[in-house]
Amino acid sequence: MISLISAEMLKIRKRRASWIMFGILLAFLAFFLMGIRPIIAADDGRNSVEFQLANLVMRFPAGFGILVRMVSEMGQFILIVFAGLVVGSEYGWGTVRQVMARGASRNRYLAAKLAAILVSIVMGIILAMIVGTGFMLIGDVLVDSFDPKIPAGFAGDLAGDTLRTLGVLVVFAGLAFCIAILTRSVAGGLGLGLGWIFVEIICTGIFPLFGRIWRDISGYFLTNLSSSLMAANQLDVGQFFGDGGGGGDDGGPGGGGGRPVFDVEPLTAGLLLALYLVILLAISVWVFNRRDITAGG
Amino acid sequence: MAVETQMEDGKPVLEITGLEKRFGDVTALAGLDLQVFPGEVYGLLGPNGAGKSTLIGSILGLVRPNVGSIEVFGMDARQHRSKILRRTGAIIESPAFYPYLGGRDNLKVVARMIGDVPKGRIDEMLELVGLSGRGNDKVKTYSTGMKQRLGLASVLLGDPDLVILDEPTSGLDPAGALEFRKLIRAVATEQGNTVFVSSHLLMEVEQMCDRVGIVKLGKTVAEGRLEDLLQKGSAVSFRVDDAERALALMREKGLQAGSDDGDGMVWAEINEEDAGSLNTALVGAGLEVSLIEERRSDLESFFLEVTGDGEEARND
Repeated sequence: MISLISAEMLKIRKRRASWIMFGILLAFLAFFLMGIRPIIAADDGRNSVEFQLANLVMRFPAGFGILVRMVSEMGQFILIVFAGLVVGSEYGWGTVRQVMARGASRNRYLAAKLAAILVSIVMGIILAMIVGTGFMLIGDVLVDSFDPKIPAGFAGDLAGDTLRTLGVLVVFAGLAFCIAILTRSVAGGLGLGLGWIFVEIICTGIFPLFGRIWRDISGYFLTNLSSSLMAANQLDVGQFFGDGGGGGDDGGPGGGGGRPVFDVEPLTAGLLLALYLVILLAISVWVFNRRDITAGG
Repeated sequence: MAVETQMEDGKPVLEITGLEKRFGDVTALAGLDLQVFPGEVYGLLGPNGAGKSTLIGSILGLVRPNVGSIEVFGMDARQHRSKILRRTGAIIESPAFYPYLGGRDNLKVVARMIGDVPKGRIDEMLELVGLSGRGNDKVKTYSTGMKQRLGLASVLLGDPDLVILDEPTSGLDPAGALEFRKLIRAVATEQGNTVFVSSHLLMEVEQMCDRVGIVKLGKTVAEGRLEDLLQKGSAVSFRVDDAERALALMREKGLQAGSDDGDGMVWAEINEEDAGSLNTALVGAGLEVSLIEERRSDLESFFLEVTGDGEEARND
């Protein structure tokens, strides 16, 4: 099993697309954590409200709230693409047949792929945290607000927030994984995976028009459950503005980072996301085991 | 040839009995039987759509047959799939690789999947297939022939007892195909592997294989050593001065007979030993016989004979 996972890791590590996607995330982190404050300072001056607000949420260590949120929310899209590529390409290139013909059991193959994706997510989050911290500190130096004081309990809060981010990303990777197996293609995995997110976002906007019950239903979408779970983050940007950092206690869509937060408690949201993941993986395993692997997948 | 002494003496490496597979309404395999013995190069010959790739998929556990049994190394293929595949190397249709990886890295991926591949084996295999100079180049820059050779290297990486190749020279130019056939033949004779090759190219099978199975509409219609199969269709030809009279005489005697176009050659399906008495009869009937020779059927004639026109189109 270890050798199967290491084969998967080799494929991921040597694939340029993996690094391009990670690079996109880093580029956004660099812009937000390092670039925005100097730009605002140059445009509006350091005494402006805009700069003060930006400096409040983007400086070290408060900027971890933005860092975690960006990794979580951008990561969802990146993971859809990444997992879709990792699984779907095997069908496109016909390598899935060759791998199966090597004697790997179908379950072990899927487990190795999932494990490799999980390892990649963990490594990606750790790397993003390290590089993001660097961006944050450089940003502080650029605007002369470097003050590396770390509040008590910060490490525990960061660990909790990061674990929630990991949980959310694993579910979205599971979604792309499942769709790529069902459609046996990269295009299907990416198209339907990203389409799923967009449809959820559109429905989240439309459903409240039809009444309270529809709005509540949309709270159980993957994206909204993720927001509900992430609302429990202790380092979230919302803490600076008092709107949604504590879990949507206003009873309606709110939240500090863009997406609405519903009435679903973070713990419930976490459990429901886990259930989503189990269902997605069960479908993947069942379909993959049941199908013949013929030409073209 | 050393391999001949092993062939058919031992238990079959691969034994397929009554294999059936349907894809919806389409029957791909309809009770196929065959046996492959240790050390031989076995050619599975059939027109496109005869069920060759489905059969190979079934052997490798990629396709689940509806009925029938597959035994490899004396083990049931469904129950002992992993054990069997650890001793088997296969290319299904065209070899598939990760295009963004180099040849060497692709073999590394395969080696990690197989496990227990000795250090240096990758370089050894690249050398064997003549790719040691291009091992670090990305596979997407390889020609079809290079990909086929890399495919063979990946198959041999785990030193398999059974090598399965599906249409191995498909897409190769004539020189590349010839080189590849030699390589496959060398795999059997020098490395002692049993090789199972599917092909729709008669000449290819004739050049490479010790034994042949011919499939049509998912069924084996002939199987055996190449020379035995060709012998089955053997006849004796006579050059005579009046082909029509000679044919009439042969048919009067109840023989299967025919004539080749133009040059007065007629043939009858008889053993060599009976050629003398038929010659006497022809001469006795006043015909002048100027040449008598064995008329061995070639694989093409035999193939067409057992498969009909051989081109029933079905999806494989």
